[in-house]
Amino acid sequence: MSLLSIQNLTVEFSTPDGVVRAVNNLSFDIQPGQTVGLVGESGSGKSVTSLAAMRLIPNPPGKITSGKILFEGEDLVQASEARMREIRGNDIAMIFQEPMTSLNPVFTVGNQICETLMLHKSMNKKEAWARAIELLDQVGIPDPQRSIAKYPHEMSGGQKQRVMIAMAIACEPKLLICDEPTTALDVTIQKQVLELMFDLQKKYNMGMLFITHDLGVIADIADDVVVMYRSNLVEQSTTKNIFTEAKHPYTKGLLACRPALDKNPERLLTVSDFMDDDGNEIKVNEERTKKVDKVYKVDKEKNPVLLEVNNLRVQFPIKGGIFGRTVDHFVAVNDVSFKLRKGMTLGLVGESGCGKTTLGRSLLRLIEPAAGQVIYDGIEITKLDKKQMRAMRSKIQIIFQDPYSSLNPRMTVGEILMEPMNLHNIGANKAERVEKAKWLMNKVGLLESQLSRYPHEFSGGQRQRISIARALAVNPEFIICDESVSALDVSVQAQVLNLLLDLQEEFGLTYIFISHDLSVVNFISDEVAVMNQGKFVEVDKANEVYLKPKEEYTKRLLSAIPKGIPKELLAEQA
Amino acid sequence: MNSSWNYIIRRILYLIPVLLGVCFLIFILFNVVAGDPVYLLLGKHASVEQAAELREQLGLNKPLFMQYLDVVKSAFTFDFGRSWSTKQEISSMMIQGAIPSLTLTIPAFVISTILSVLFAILVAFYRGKGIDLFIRVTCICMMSISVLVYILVFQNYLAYEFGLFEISGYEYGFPDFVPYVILPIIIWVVLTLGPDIRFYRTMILDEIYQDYVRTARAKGLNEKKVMLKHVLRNAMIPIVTYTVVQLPFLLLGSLLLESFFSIPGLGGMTITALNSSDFPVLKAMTILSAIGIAVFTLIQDILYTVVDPRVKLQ
Amino acid sequence: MRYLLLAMVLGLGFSCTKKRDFSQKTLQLSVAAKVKGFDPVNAGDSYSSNNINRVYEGLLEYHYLKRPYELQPNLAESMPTVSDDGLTYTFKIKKGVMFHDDKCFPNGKGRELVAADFVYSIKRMADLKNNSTGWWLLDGRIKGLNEWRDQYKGKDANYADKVEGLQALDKYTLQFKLTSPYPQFLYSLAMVYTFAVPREAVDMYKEEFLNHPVGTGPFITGTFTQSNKIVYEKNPNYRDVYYPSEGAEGDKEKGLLKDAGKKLPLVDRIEVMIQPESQPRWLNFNSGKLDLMEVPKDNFDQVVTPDKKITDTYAKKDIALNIIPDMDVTYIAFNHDDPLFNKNKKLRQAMSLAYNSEEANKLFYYGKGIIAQSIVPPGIAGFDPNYKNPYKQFNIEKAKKLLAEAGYPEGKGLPVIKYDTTATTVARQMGEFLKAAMDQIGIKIEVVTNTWPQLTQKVKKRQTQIYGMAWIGDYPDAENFLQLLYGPNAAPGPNGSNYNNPVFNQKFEVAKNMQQSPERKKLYEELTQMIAEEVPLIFGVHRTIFVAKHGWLQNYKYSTFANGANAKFYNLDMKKKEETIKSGKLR
Repeated sequence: MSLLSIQNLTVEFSTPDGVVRAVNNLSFDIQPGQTVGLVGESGSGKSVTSLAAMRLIPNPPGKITSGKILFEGEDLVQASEARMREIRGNDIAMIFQEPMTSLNPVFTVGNQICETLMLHKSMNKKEAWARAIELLDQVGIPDPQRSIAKYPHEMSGGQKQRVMIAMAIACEPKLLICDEPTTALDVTIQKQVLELMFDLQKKYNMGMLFITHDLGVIADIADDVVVMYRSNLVEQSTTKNIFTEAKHPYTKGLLACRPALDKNPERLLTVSDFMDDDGNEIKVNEERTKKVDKVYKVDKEKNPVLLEVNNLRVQFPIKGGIFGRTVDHFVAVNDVSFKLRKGMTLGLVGESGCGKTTLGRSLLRLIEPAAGQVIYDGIEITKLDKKQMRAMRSKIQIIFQDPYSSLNPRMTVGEILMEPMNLHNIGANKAERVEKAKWLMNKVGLLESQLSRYPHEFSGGQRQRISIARALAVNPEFIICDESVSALDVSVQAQVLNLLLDLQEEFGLTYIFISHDLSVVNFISDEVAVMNQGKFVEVDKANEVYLKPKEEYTKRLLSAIPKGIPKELLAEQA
Repeated sequence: MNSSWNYIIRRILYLIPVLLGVCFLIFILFNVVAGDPVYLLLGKHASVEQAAELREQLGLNKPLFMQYLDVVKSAFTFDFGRSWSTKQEISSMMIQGAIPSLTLTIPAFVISTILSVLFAILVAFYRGKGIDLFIRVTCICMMSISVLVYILVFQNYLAYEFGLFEISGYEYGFPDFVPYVILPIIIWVVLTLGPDIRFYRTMILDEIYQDYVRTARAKGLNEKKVMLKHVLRNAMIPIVTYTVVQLPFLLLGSLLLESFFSIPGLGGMTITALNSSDFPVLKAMTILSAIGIAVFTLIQDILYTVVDPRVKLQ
Repeated sequence: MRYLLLAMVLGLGFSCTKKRDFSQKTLQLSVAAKVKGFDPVNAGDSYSSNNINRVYEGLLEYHYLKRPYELQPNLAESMPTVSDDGLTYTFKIKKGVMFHDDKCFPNGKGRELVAADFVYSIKRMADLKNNSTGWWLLDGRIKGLNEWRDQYKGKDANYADKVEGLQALDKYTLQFKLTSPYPQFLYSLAMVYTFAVPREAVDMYKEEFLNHPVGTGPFITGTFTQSNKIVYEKNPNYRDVYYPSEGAEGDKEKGLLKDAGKKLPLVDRIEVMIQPESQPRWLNFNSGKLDLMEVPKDNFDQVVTPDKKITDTYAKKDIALNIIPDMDVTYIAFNHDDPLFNKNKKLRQAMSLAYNSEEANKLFYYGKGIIAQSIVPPGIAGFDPNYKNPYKQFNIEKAKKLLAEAGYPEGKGLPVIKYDTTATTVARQMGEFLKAAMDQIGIKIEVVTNTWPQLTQKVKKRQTQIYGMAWIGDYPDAENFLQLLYGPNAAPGPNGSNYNNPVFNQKFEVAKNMQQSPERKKLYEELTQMIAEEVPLIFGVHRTIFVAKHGWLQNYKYSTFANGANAKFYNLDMKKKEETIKSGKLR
């Protein structure tokens, strides 16, 4: 008997625009001890499926309209709410994507773990507490005796996700549902967390449903893979089969769009290279899959040094005493120097908190540097006054990570694009600005007619395109991309990366590309700087850094990147 | 903990410039901008000679800088002098007035807060259902009726026609004051229930859609536990802070209620002072309010750290 | 939550209302504003003076029942002997009058009142430091008193210093010497400002004296606090004072002489409720928690029929109506500093004619007022009930004609005239009414609203053009009203219109110094009519007061002056009160 058998599941949501089918006639099974990867992009219905299995779909507006969810033979669709509460957390447990928000901020982690134990295992407070300490130890939280009394905000993202895992496995569930558990984490942390989950799964012989948008992540842990596309199951097979002989063009596209360290195509393939809008397979242009060896070519005439940073230091005061005097400093960027030539891309990689974002912002003086020089095109930015700096800002633009919060929800896209033009006096009149906005929309692959829409009407990828268009609106020469593609699905990420490269080619733009994702940085950059604790660990040509890392830290980062290859294949290759 | 104490001491020290600023504003308002109050105080037969004498007595002839110093002195010594119209010591007037104000506002505030939080939980629990709609519609109806209508109707029917309550009046001392404050308390509660339920409901609903609530449900907790433990504890953060900042205003009493129910509180005192240009009383009330607001904002900050472990005093 | 509600309901159950006590004769009264304190020299407002009146007493008082008002001795043994030149007044003081027991006296026992107490009390009123709101009454009247006052300007006054015109000749004899004949002097001795205060209390309580009333009056109240209630107990040591046995015409029929000869006061206790809002006050009256109350204008139609009788509904509740003309006059003043008005009598007359007082009376006073033909209200010598002011008879045609004669046909050439008034709703509506009235003859008015202090400021500083005001009489003498137009009294004095007519001034000076007599009455009438036709003010109305009272309250008669002291005459039929309230017919 399957541990979980989903049969012809259909879930619908009622929205103001009518009924939307989020999951359509979906069927798959999970055996005890088996790991099934559920892959798809945002909105494909994969998360709804997982919530359906827990019967946690918010109702209204969501509703399971047909099908069965058999858990050890018991149909959960028909189960009473009381029965479901017995199952939740006890037989089926779940880990969510965002460890930051998925833990209750006002209770200690111990309290939150104990809650499950006391509920399902009828333990008293003391027993539960002792067991919680064991669990924290198991998930690799240092000093569990003390950590158990901590509040979520006192822990790092990786630790929080470990706490989530501890909470989920507390009752030794038969099925563990993981909804993008590592997407928000740094590569190194991601690797550790994945390994932990894999170990625990083996230890407790749990069935596992692993939901992700990135096939690479589950390549080495899933037994089977289910691919969902627009609410439908499009392909289902063993992991090995998926990676070696994927049949559906969407699956092929997903596999191809992830930048890999060992191949360096001119442009990334995207899902649209494999299938048209109606889901029909199209023939892939072979030219585009060809591997190119990136050559770092510098032409002194064409690529003069645009940005020179000398001994830059950024620090934040640590205040103390009655009058809040600054008693010490936290140094976020420590003595950083580099040169960047026009038309080139510098990739900036490092783990969360290494100072890469601070560095990016201090170049624009969004954060004032404490010492050092930033020379842009011969002008020392660090010495400009406010007015001069404002003029300079039209030349240097920044694109942020979160396309949701960086666009004003009350402005139309047209207004968003024309606002910086007004500010920097670009375009002689309104008509010219409207023209330019239309042109920008075309450039970033959106429609002119969408200018009058509001940001919330767009998908994440489209919003990031709007952010790019806004940056381009003031005719910049230099763009800082701060984790600009990190929040996007791999398939969308590929499209945005291609767009950035196209624009660079067309307008001769210079980029600083900040990301924690080494494969993305490798793909887009000419040069790469690896940053750790505010300092540059290693700066070199992209190929050099990735293929011949010199520093220990770089090597550690590189080894943490999921290979994107199933274990069996790796074994065969070996 | 040390840094918390530093913070608290710092904030208390900040009161000094705040008070100086308030004093300056008061000084500008009452000593510079406001007109000459002496004829009002002396009545219709006042002579020029008397006006001059009174100006002298009230210190209105002093150089402006000295007048400002007087304001500052009163703010820091809490010696506000005597009322111009009643000639009584303002500090004792304040104590006399604060008692009735507080016996009305504190129970009213406590009851209305408890009730509105309870109702808010109820409507949030049954969000989208009939009871939610019913309570929300009732809230809006209750909010759209003017205070005066409540006062007049309740006084006329509940107190006069049915004889359930005292119409108006007040007596010092417990339990003598109780019969007099019940009806105004009911009106206060009815008045604040509408907006408060709506506000608290929003606060609770904001939390209901948070990820950690989903986590709590995924643990198998029942909805009651989810609401009362996880949601409420988080919703309490804005609720507590919202209620704390209202506290200094309780001391100021309720103008209309005090006036209609003949409760000799600070609200009525302020209005009387306003009508009779009794500047020292108005100054004292302004300074007291400023201090109250500053102190309760500090308490609010401290409470923040109590209800929200993420917040530290720095 | 259920328990909480239950607890609330239970809480409500046992202590919602106070139990009523009918065992004591407790008079229940109300005032609309806070009483400022109990210092006689500063009894500026009627709320305060009415309360001071119950505790303190003066040499003279008005007869409770007789009308027109008649002075009679109170603490004085008899009316004073006046010298032939009208300058020396000699009083004999009643013997054996005791101050209330208070800790300011040795052993806490009140001592006997002596003539020196009046010398002290009146000097206190003159003491510049006390800034008495009643000083105008004696300003320049008593020999040596102004000099005494000026001598101690800016320092502590020496009360031992002799003042020629103010002396205690012996323990019970008091002598005043006036600077010039001043017949109105006697009225000031019936006003609270000159009431007897014991020096011991002033010395002991100093600045707090106003909260520790120690008098000789029929009622005693303890330490006064700014609260919502003032409670008086009957003075157990009150001297023998009896209810009058004669009254005005018709008083006997009204039952006002039933208690004649009984020892006063007749009630044991007074409770004065301070209730600023009229509606709850009215409800309290209706439920029998107040014995009497002025009918609020919002409830006027419920209580009073168009022909000014009590309505059946209220008659059934055994509630009676007393209608009393108040001694006042409302007016719109022209500032004669403004040449526009000063030089142009016809303009003033035209404006007066265009103002429909009948209509205004209906709109703003529910028809309660009596249209003022001139400045002197009814009930005072100088008021002629048969006189009709030719410029008060509403006539648009005549107004237009006069306006044209004034040099402004249809208002042409006239600037916009600013009308200053207070910011209350009624005051604003009155302003709009004036604006509409003047519009009819082509005069443009701009209504400017002020706070009360702002308005008085403007008037005192002569910064207005025209403004609305009312004057409430201080004592029942036409002089008190006519002085409003006496040239030397111009602002900042009481003559805010700054009207200055030498003929009027001269005749007024003669009249005010005459003793009460038919000649004086004639002269007052002449002055009243002269001023009426000069139109220095657009006269409004003399207001009337409508008081509703319960059947159980007996001996009630309103008096404009010293109304508070009348409480000692009131009587209560407690049995009737208990029955009426318990029968439920008040609801």
